[in-house]
Amino acid sequence: MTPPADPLSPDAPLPNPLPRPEGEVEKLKEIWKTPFGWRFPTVVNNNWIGVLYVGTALLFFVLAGILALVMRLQLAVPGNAILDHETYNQFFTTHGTIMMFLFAVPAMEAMGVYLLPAMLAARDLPFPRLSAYAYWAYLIGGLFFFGSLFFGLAPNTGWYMYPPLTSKPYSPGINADFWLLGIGFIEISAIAGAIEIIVGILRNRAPGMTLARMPLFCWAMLVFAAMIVFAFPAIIWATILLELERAFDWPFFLPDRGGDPLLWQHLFWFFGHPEVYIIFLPAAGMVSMIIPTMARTPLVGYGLVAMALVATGFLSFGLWVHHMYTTGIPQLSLSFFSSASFAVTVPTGVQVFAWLATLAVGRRVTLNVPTLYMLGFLFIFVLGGLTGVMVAVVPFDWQAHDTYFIVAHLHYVLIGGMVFPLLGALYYWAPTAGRKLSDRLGRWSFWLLFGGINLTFFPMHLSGLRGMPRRVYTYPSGMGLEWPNLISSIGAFVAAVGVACVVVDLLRNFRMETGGGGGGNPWSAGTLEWLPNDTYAARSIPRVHGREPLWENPRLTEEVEQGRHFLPGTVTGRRETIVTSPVAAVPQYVQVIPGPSWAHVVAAAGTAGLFTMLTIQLVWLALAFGALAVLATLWWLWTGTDYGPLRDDAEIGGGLRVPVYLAGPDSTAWWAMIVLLLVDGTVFACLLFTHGFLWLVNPEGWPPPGTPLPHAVWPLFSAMGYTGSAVLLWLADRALGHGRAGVILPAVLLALPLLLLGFGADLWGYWSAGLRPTTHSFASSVYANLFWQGLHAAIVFVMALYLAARRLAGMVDPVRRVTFDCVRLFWLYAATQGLAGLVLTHLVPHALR
Amino acid sequence: MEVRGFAPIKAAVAGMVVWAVHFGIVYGITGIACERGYGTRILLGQPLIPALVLAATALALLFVGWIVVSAYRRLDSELSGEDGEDGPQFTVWLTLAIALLSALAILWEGIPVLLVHPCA
Repeated sequence: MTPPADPLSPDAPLPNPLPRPEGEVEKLKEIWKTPFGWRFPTVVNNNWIGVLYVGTALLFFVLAGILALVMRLQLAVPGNAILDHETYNQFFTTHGTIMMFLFAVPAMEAMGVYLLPAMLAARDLPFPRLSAYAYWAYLIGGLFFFGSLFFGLAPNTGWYMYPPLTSKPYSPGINADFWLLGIGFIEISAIAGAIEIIVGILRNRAPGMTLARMPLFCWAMLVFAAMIVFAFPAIIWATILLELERAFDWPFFLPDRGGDPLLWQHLFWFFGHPEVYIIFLPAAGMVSMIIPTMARTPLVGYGLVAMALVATGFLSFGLWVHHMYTTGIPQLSLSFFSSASFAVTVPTGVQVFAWLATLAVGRRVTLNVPTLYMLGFLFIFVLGGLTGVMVAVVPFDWQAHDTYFIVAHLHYVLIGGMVFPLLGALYYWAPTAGRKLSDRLGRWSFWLLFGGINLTFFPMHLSGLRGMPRRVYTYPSGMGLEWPNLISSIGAFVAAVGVACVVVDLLRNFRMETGGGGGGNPWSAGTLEWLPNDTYAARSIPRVHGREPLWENPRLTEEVEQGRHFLPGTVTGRRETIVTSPVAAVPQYVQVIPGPSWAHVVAAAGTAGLFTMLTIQLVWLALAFGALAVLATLWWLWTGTDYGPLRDDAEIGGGLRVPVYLAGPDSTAWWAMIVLLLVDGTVFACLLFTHGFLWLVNPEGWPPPGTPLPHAVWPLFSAMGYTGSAVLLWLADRALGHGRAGVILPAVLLALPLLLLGFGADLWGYWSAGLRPTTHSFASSVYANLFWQGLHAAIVFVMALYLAARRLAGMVDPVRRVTFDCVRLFWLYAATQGLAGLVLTHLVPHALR
Repeated sequence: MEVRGFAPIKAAVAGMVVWAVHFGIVYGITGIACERGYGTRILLGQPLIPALVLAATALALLFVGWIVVSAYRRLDSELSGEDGEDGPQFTVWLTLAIALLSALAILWEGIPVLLVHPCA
C-alpha cells in the first residue's frame, strides 16, 4: 500500500521508524543540560524559569498578604493604633500594587512560560532568553520595590496613583516615584513575556495542532498576551507623563496650565480595567483544562469558550470609564460603558455554563483538591461577578463608589477569579514537574481559604453599604461597623492559615525532577503536557489529530517516548524547536534557539538597576546601569540570535524536509518585531489621545494664543530627513533581495544621519522658537512627542551601529538577513511615527486654529 | 493544505474590531459634542448626537451583517469537508460566533441614546 503524501494525516505511518540511532537521546540530554551551581542563573529552560517565576510570584503574594493581615489587625476594632495613617497609606498602596503587578500578572505569565511549551509539545518557546530576562528583571526590581517599605519610601497614594494627589505639590517625596519608575521594569517584563507567549502559541504548536485543536489554556494565554500588548502601553505612557510632570514640571495634569487630572484616569483605566481580565482569562483557561479532566469528558462548547475568550479580550477594553462614573462625564457616555459592562457578562456567562455543563455530563466527577478549588472558584467568582453587574449600574455605583462594597467586590472577583484557579492549577500541574502535592494539606488549605475568604470579604459588602469608605486607617465606633470589621479581620487570619498550608505543602512536596520524566499522568488527562518530560521536553514532537491526543491515542505516550514522532534527535547539534504555521500548524522550519548565558541576566540587572537608581535620584548610576543593560542586550543578541543557515535543510520525519533557517515574514523574529511594533504603535495611539484630550479641555485655543511656534522650514527639514531615511532603507532591502549585500553599510551609514536630522530639526525648531515644555499643556504635549521620538531615534542609532558591526563581521548577507529585517522594520516604524508626529504637532493645531 | 495564512485569525476577530471602532466613534462623538456645547444642535431635523450615534450604530451593524453573511456562506460550503475539526472551518465558525456577539454588543451600545439625554 502506498503511504499518503501528507505526513500529518492520521492514516500516514508514524513519522520516524524504529530502532532509533544509538546515542540520539544522550545527545539531546547533553544539548539541553541544565547548568547548576554558580552558573544556575544562566538557565533558560522554560521548566526552570517557569518554576522560579511561579515561586517568586507566590513570594510576592505572601508578602502582600502579610501587609493585608497587618491592615486587618489595624481595622479589627475602631480607633486602633497599630499603624499610623501614613504607614497605613503605604501598606494599602504597596499591597494593591504588589498584588496586581508583582503577583497576579507575573504569576499568569509564569504559568504560561512553564506550561505552554509542554502543552504545545514544543522543545521550547522561540525566545527562551527573553523569558529568562523577563524573570530576572522582575525578581530584582520587585524585591527593590518591596524594600522601599522598610525605609518609609513606599508609594502612599493608592495603587491607581491619581493626580493631583500624586503631583509634586501634594506628594513631594520620592514615594510616588517608586511606583512610577519601580513599575517601569514590570511593564517591560510583562511585554517581553507577552511577545514570547504570542509568537510561541501561534508558531510553536505541535504539527497538526490546528487552532481548532489547541488546548483552551493556550487560547486564554494568547488572548491574555494580546491584551497585554494593547493595555500595557496605556500605563507606560501614563507613567511617563506623570514622571515628566513630577521631575521636570511639564503640566499634563495641572489645570492652571491647561492640563487635566482626568487624562490620567482615562489612561490608567484603559490599562486598569483590561488588567482585571488579563488576570482572569488565563485562570479561566486553567479551569477549562482542569474541569474536563476531573469530569473525564471533553469540555462542553469548546468553540463557544474560545469565542468567549476572544470576545472578552475585546469587550474588556470598553469598560474603563466604569471606574469613573463619579467624575462628571456625560450620562450618555456613561451608558456606553454600562452597556459594555453588561455585554462582557455574556461571554463570561458562556464560560461558566460550559464549565457547569461539563461537570453535569461528566462521568463521576472526582472530588479531589483541584476539583475543590474549581468549585470554590465558581462560587466566589460568580458572587463577585454578580456584584460587578450591580456596580455596572450607574446610579448604584454612585452610592457604592469608593466604599468597602467595592473592596468586597474586587476581592471576590480577583481571589475567586484568579487565586482559586491558580492554587487549583498548582495542585493539578505539580506532577508535571515531579510529584503530587499532599491531598490532606490541599484539602485543609481549600476549606480554610474558602471559609476565610468568605468570612473576610462578605461582611465588607455590609460595611460598605453602611458607609465605610475604603482606604481609611481607622473608623469611629457607633456606626455599625464594629462587627463586620472584626469578622473580616478574623476571616483574614483564617485565610492566612490556608495560604500557609499551601506554602508548607509546596516546600515539603514540590520537587523538580529534571530528567526524571515527571510524575506521570495521575489524573489521566488528555493533553500533551502530560507526556513524559525531560529538559528537552518530549522525546519526539507528536503529530496531533484532536483536542485530547492522549485520550484519542492511548499509545501516544509510548510512541513519543520511543522517538517515533517528529524531530526525535537534533539536526544541528544545538537547541532546536519546530516552527509551524499559525492556523494549520504545518511544520515550516527548525529554529535554532539559544542556550544558557549571562548576557540576559546582566541585561535584566541593568534594566532593574536603571529604574531603581532613577527612583532614588542617583542619575549617573542609573545611566551606568542603562548602559550596562544596552551592552548586555547587544551581547545577548550577538551570541544568541540569527545563527544563519547551519545547514540547508533537514528531515524531521515522515519524509518532511524543512529549512533550519528562515528570514522574512515567516520567521519568528519577524513576528516578534511586529508584536513589539504593535506595542509601540499603541503607545503612540495613547500619545495621540493625550493631544486630543488636552485639545478638548482647552477651548481657548490649541495652541493657546501667544504660543511661540517654529518656522515651517524646520518641520519640512524634519519630514525630508525621515522620508529620506525610510527610502534608503527600502532601497537597501530591495538591493539585498537581489543579492547585493554590499549596499547595506553605505545605506545604513547614510540613512542614520538622515533620521537623526529629522528628529533634530523638529526639536531645534520648537526650542529656537522659544517654546518651553513647562509653560502649558500644549507645549508639554509637543515635547512629550519629541521625547518619545527621541527615544526611538536613540534606539535606531544603537540598532544601526549593531547592524553595521554584524555586516562588517560577515554576519549579514542576502540569506542571513534576520538582523537586517528586524532593524529595518523598527527603523521604518520610527520614521513613520516621526512623520505622524509632525502632522500631529504642526498640521493639526494649524487646522484647528 | 494552507501553510502560512494568518488571514483566518484576522477574519475571526473582524466583528469585534467593528465593535471597537463603533465604540470609539460613539464615545468620541458624545464626548466632543458635549464638551464643546453641541449637545443641543440639530442635524437634518434630528438632535445631533442621537442622529450621529444611531447612524454609526446602523453602519456598524451593516458591517457586522456583512461579516456574518459571508462567514455563513463559507461555513455552509466547507461543512461538507471530511474533518470537522479542520482549521479553516473552525476559524470560519469562530468568525460567525464572534460577529454575532459583536452585533449584540453594538446594539446594546446604540440603545442608550434612545433613553438617556446625551449631555445631562
